[in-house]
Amino acid sequence: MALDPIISAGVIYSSILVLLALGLTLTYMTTRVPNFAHASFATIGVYIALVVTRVWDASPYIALPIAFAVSGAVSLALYTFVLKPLIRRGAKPAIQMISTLAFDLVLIAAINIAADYIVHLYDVTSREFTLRSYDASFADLPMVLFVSPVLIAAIVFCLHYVLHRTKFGIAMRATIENPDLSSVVGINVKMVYGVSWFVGGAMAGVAGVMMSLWFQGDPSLGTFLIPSIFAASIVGGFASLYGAIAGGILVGMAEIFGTRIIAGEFGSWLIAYRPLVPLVFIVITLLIAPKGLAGVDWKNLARRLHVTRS
Amino acid sequence: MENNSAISVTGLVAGYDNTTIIDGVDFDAKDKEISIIVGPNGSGKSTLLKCMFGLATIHSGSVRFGSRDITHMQPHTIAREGIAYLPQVKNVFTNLSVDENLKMAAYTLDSKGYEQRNEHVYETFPQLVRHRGDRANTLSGGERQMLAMGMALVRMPQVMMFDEPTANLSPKLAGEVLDKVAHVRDSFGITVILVEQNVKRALAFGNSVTILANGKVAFSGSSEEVRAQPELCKTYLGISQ
Ligand SMILES: Nc1ncnc2c1ncn2[C@@H]1O[C@H](COP(=O)(O)OP(=O)(O)OP(=O)(O)O)[C@@H](O)[C@H]1O
Ligand SMILES: [Mg+2]
Repeated sequence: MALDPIISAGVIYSSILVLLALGLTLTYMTTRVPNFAHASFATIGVYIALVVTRVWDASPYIALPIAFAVSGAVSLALYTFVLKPLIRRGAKPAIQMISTLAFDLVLIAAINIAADYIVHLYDVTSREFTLRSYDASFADLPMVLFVSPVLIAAIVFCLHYVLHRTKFGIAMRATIENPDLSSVVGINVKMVYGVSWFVGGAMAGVAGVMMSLWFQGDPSLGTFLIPSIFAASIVGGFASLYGAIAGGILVGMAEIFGTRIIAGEFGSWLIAYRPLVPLVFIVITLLIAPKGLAGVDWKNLARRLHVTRS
Repeated sequence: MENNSAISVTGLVAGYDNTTIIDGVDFDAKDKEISIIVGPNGSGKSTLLKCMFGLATIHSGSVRFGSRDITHMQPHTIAREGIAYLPQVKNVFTNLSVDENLKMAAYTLDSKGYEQRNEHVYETFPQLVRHRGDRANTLSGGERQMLAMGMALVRMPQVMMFDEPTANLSPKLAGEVLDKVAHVRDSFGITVILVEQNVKRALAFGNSVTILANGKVAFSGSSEEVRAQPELCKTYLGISQ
């Protein structure tokens, strides 16, 4: 089946951004800390996929549950051992944010060490590697093209179900809105925060496994994604999981298709400026709709558009 | 009749972060009685309640619940110990439905006990029934206050602290809510700590009164003593008899 590779790129990249923006938004909604180490949780997933395929010679999809657990645990460690003590000592949000940057530096260094160690131990390329050949195919198309959107849909469905149908999920929503009142009714707020950090990191790990089947793997892969993840979350309002989904799709599609269309019009030299796309999204959103898609009063907007038309 | 203290606060100095709002307060809530806290706006009534629930910064002094020291306990553990607290503001989850609010209020209870008490709340506040599935931010001010009251009642703890439960309510409903508070004490033997603007009404059934002014105790004694001192009523409570 012939399919313009740009469509695969758009679908896969958007799915990955949705998953990463969801996790980042979830941790931001609970603890109110913008986590700059988030993308490196995905890089961990990339390296787990590397080990599973090249060293164990297994299907890359085996890496999914492992990355879920490991990235989730690293994320929980950031909250438990760095943020929680800082918050207890009354650290301001800016300090908490910078501590996540510091954690990211440590994490990237650790991933680099792990990469070197993998070369040393198994004689496997661990920088600028690609795992696309390990992916299965379906109708002559890479499997990840189908797996990524389906997996995202499943995760979103599970999240929605948990948040609205289970007692703990409702407690999470309660804690996001009003941590003081939540503790008054007996909810262990810090435990809820810990769970959301685990889930946020775990989703990033899953995104990382899918990244490994599409992008060139490298310890710095996450760093290049950070502006796009923040753009997706900010466009989504940073306060709503559904906003993060919309933001991920919008920014992902714009980066892939927008760059292609503009390059087609003005020349291919523009492709090099693709990293500007997320930054433009951040600036525009913060200027005209600081609360993002989630903050737009759609009903009111529709009414106003209707009035101006008639 | 001399009773044991359910809650006793001694030498409390507290506030928010580095500020001091409560400045050397002693306060006792006797078992199975209603203790009223009154005082001018900003005198620290809400802050005193928050101290008892681990929601303010305690600089020195202690809070005891029965024989246990709860001064530095975390709020969610205090809730599990059997104290319920109805805050003055932001006392419902506005993004959750009425049903979900009550479910959260009963977070520490098992589901069987919850179902029963849940129905009891709807019997007490029938106005809430048709809003069961609605988000709390669509409720009127009065309905929201009823929901907050219901959230405290659903727990049926040993001690209940109410911070101005009749604010936003019509005089008729305010009367019903205060009757409910008295009922809770009489039928279930629950200790009540009540911050109330409607002093005259509260004095009618309260057992003891503490008057706060500027973070200090200006007076403390029984309701009869307060009523016998018109001076006190005039200066602090704005009522004349
Ligand atoms: N969260 C807070 N952070 C800092 N200061 C606060 C906070 N809440 C209250 N205060 C301050 O503490 C003082 C006492 O407030 P508090 O709410 O305890 O008064 P109150 O007696 O309950 O008043 P009211 O009758 O108006 O409810 C006020 O000066 C207020 O500005
Ligand atoms: Mg108050």
